[in-house]
Amino acid sequence: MNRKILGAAVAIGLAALVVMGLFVSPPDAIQSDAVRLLYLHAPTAWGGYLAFGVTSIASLCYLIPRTRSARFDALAGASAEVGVLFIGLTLALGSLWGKPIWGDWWSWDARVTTTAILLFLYIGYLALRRSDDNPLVHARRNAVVAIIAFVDVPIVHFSVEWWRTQHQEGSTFNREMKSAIQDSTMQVTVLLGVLVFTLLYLYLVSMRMQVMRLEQQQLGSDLDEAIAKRTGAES
Amino acid sequence: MKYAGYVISGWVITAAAVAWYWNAQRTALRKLSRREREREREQEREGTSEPAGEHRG
Repeated sequence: MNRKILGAAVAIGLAALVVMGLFVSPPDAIQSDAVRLLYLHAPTAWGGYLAFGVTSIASLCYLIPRTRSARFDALAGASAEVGVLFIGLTLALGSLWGKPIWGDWWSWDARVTTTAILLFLYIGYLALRRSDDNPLVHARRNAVVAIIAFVDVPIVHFSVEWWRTQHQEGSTFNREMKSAIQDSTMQVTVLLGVLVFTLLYLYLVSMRMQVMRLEQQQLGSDLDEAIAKRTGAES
Repeated sequence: MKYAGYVISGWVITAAAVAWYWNAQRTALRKLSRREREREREQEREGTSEPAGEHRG
């Protein structure tokens, strides 16, 4: 899809999400208007899972000799950056929701703690990507680290089932908790949020990948120029 | 709206963070594209001047 069309779809989707999330959907019977934070909290969490999932798949493709390509390494890096942005927002929004509902900004709850660990794992991964090293060894090592970091994603997801936590169990796709979101406007708003943040993820990753491609191209051209100048000066 | 401060803060923080990242990429993209165009133009100029030099030589 053309990036301009994707960008327009994201802008329209975000505007629709603002209208639905802040004005159209009703306040929750228990949480009242604090529920409006969850229309961003859940989609950003989904976006983070998606981003780290793509990072680990791209890293795996990079590690397999038959599919090894610099594009997979770039995709892994770009996706992880967007994932860190989304998971950072998930934690910030959760904290803003937690203060009025749980009575505290932060709780060492299993879901919250494992999500914070996830954020730091991928910040570490991004820091590692910036280190100077042999590019091939560097990319292989990054790929291994990205796959190891992804182990935390299922732990985050199932933490609410494996441990006793303050955090509620998953509700949107949980058959046993079908009644958790009864209002159809609320259901539509949550699903719209998930769709919009999926499109936003695609848009930001495609932008970031183009920036990375141009940076690599110019680095190559700069090197060629430097070599040409040096050989010219020597001869 | 109940809890308006928390709700509005959350939406504003999200909008600001996404806009910041998008703007950073857009700025980088413009800068790099401009540099690439300049380089192409330079190469074109060099390409057209070289044969003339050869001819003179």
